Amino acid sequence: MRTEDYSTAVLEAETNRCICCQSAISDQNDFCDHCHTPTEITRSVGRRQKDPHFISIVGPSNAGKTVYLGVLLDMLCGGSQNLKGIPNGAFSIGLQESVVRDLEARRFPGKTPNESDLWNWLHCVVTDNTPNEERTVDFVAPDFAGEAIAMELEQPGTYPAVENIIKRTSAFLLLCDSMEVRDNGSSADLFAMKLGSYIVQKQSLAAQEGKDAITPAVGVIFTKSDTCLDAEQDPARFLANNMPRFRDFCFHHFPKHEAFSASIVGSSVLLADSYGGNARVPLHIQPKGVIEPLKWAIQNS
Amino acid sequence: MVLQPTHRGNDRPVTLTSILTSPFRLFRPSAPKPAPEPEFAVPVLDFPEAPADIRQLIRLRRYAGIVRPRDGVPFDGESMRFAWKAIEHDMALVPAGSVSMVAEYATTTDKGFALLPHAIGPTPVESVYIDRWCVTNADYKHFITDGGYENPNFWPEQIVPTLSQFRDQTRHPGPAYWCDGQPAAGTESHPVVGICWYEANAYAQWAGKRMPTSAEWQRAAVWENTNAETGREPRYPWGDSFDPQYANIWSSQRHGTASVQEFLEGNTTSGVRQLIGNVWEWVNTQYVLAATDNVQVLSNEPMAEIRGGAFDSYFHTHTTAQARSAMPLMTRVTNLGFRCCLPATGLTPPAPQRPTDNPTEPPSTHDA
Repeated sequence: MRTEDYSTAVLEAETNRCICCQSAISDQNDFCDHCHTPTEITRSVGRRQKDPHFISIVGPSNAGKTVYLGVLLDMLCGGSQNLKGIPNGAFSIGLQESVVRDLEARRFPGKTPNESDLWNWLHCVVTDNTPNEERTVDFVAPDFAGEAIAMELEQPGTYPAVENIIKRTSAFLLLCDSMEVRDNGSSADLFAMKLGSYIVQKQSLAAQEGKDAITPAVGVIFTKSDTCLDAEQDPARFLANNMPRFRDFCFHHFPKHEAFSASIVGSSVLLADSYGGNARVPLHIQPKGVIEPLKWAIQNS
Repeated sequence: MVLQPTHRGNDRPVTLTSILTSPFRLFRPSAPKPAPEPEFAVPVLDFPEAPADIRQLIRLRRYAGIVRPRDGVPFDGESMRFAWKAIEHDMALVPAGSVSMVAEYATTTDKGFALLPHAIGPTPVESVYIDRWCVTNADYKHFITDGGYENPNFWPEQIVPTLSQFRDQTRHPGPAYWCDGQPAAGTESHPVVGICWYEANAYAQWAGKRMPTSAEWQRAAVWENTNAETGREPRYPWGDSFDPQYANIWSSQRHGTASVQEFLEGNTTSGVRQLIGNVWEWVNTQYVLAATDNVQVLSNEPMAEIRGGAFDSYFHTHTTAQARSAMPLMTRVTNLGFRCCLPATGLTPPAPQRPTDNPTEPPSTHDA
């Protein structure tokens, strides 16, 4: 027999549903026990009393997801192309702050850790003031680790946060490194195919579970396009020429799809260390094509 | 820590024109065509009372060849007088002195590769006259009309076979974003962009000038406000705080080039415009990145320094008078232009320079 005392009553009152996996969570925990989504993000969305609009930034490791998300948030704060965003909660500013700090110091942020409880999340109230298309959405996105996405595709269930967010996502922005796509054969195309299949499968499951069926919009963003003129000039053609399998997949499964190119860096140099590792470091920052995909995603989802 | 230069072992700027030995031909004027009415008119310097050939050279901004003729044969006093009037109008004297150059070196940190600042220290600079504004589309059109792309004397020998790459959108010789040999309507007074380092250098030679070195560019931006006792330089020509009203960068929300007639609040005291923002500027200095022993710079093409930032520069801290970036020499992009300079050594103006030349009220000019 359950004895109700003051602390139990408080706990019950504060119990909520995780915005990611809908499991019961307590305010006393920092993370959802099931999917490790920060409780703070659930509280932040809950306070707004509006359905969150999940737009997921996905892609393989080293595609530039963290930089893209951080700069996107920073640009939304300043307002750009009729989009204006206000981060909801200090945790949302954390990602922006670390990315901006690193880029200003002319370095790229470190790798996003694989542990889902270490991922940055953002919740940003975005107002689209495009004439005749005014809209306000609660943009919620985690900064997934690329390796976690890859692992979840290989072994579904490894990362419940990835699975549950993908079920609820209404627009995906799939980031692909332009040079990887151009130079490394079919691997980016096949990764995208695998991700596309996973999305279709998980969202079908969600529909069977009685949740609203979603036909997500999918934007393919060729990142680091400052290093690949073909991707920058005509991303749709670049998609058709270099990722033909995924392009066909999109025609069959994602009626709303579009190709974009984006870059953050104006110039960079390639460095190598004595262990054979190499990486680019930026010389100056000039974002290009960052806002357009989000604007498209909001208007098409 | 041991700094290991990856290209050249000395901190002095490497002058790119030192590899260019071709002579060039001056004084092939052609009649300028009337331009469509732009939002900001191009200031055309004109002296109707000057001799016809001198008047034409001045209209084309090729007056430098009058005060410093390449063939060594001096012009007459009247021609020199008009040329000096043009120089005083178009260019500002930057007296000899030194600047505090800050480079960076590549190293590894706990966060991976990083570029860390590395003070080079005071770098001596000879006195130069520097263009008050960047070379405009209208200026550059004169160079094209005058056959600049066809004249091998303006181009280094190794570039001549690749000159056919320097075409506009419609395959005419010219900047990358022009069409049919013309800049976009209304942009005649904007800095020319879409030109590589070699195109900038060719124009400078045609005009009888050269591009400034990195140190010369920096001195032009800071010399008037440098603390004489400490040598401390201001971060911007107007002081230490950035103001988006003074320079066209990302936060100015223009997201495109502006006319050289705009953002005049950011002028130096002697009236040099838009050193900060609007377009990056090619300079005549090779980009040399030093590195610690455990780091190698993998660079497969030579790069030149670029200065000042552009309309799409996101951080104003990357656009200070001391900040440097670089681009491969063949790069032709939307935010990179140039200005020219003329070494003052050996030149004797007919009268002392006026203490304050204010180009916002140009003498004896009319709009094209």
